[in-house]
Amino acid sequence: MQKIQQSSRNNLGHGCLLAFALIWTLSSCVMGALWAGGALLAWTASERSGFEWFMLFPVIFILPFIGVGVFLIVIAARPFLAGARLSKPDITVSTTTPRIGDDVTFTYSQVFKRATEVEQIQFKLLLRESARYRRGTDTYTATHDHVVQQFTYPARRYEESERLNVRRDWLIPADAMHTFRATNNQLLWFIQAQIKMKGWADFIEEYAIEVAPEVRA
Amino acid sequence: MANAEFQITLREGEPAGALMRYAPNGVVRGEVRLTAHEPVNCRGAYLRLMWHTEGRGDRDEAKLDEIVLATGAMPAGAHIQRAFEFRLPQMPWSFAGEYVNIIWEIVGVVDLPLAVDIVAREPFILAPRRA
Repeated sequence: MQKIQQSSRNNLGHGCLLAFALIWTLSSCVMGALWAGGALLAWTASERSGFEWFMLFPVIFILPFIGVGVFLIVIAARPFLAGARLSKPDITVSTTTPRIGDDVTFTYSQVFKRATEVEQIQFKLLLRESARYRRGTDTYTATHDHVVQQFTYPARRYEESERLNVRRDWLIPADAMHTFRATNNQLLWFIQAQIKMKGWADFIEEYAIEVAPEVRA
Repeated sequence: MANAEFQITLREGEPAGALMRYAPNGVVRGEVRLTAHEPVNCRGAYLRLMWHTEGRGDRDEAKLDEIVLATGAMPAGAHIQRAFEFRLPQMPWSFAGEYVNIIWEIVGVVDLPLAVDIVAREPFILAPRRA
């Protein structure tokens, strides 16, 4: 059996988004504080007494910016939140380079750090089409997933320190396509693990496998 | 505009719908005919083994092999007819998906200086025999 690691793309994307969201929110807060402070100083210097509505303007103006920042932080931090309840999974496959028609034995082991109500556990074998294209000066990537096979486990409660152990066989179908990588177009195979926890962020990770351009005899 | 006509015929493949299928690492064989209906001032005429992608993404392509059919200008009535064979690689196999399609083809090209080339394409399928 061979160990496989999480595909790095997901964490990198979420990490970048989190960094951007933190900088955005911090900048918005500093701008708002400076502006509000300036307005307060101006009001003090004018020697007026009583509450003036214009003093609230900087706060009202900056609030939507802070709101957007907080929203982005929540979105970006969700995958990391899931890690607070689950340990890093230990995953092995019988081969990381199966051929067309091969069976791939897959084991998945993970510990729940706290008692958790799990709504669903799902494992999928995916073929992902990834197409990169340019429009003007921007570059976009469109993806389409073909779910080749999936296993779903029903809802149940996991106690603290309880271990989730899964062992299944995947079949790379006889009419499937091998892994393909070109500059703009890719066909990539993944095993995706998804754990839906009640009242908590979903745990979703993907593990790449390389399907060789050979057919099992 | 130069007037020349390509005719590319594939042989020995396994019919798969409207196309012929060839196995990876196999050989694609056929015959090409090129007829110049009027004088063609070209750099040369070529037959190429190529694949390219179609679909949502920007195009990827590769030229794997090339046969030179002619060099220099072709007089009116010039006729080239010859058999060809190309050794096929292991991959990529032909694929038709939602965003990505991989197309294999034999491409005939008459390379015209400062003009749009005359191009003819004969697609085929590169894929193993499925159970």
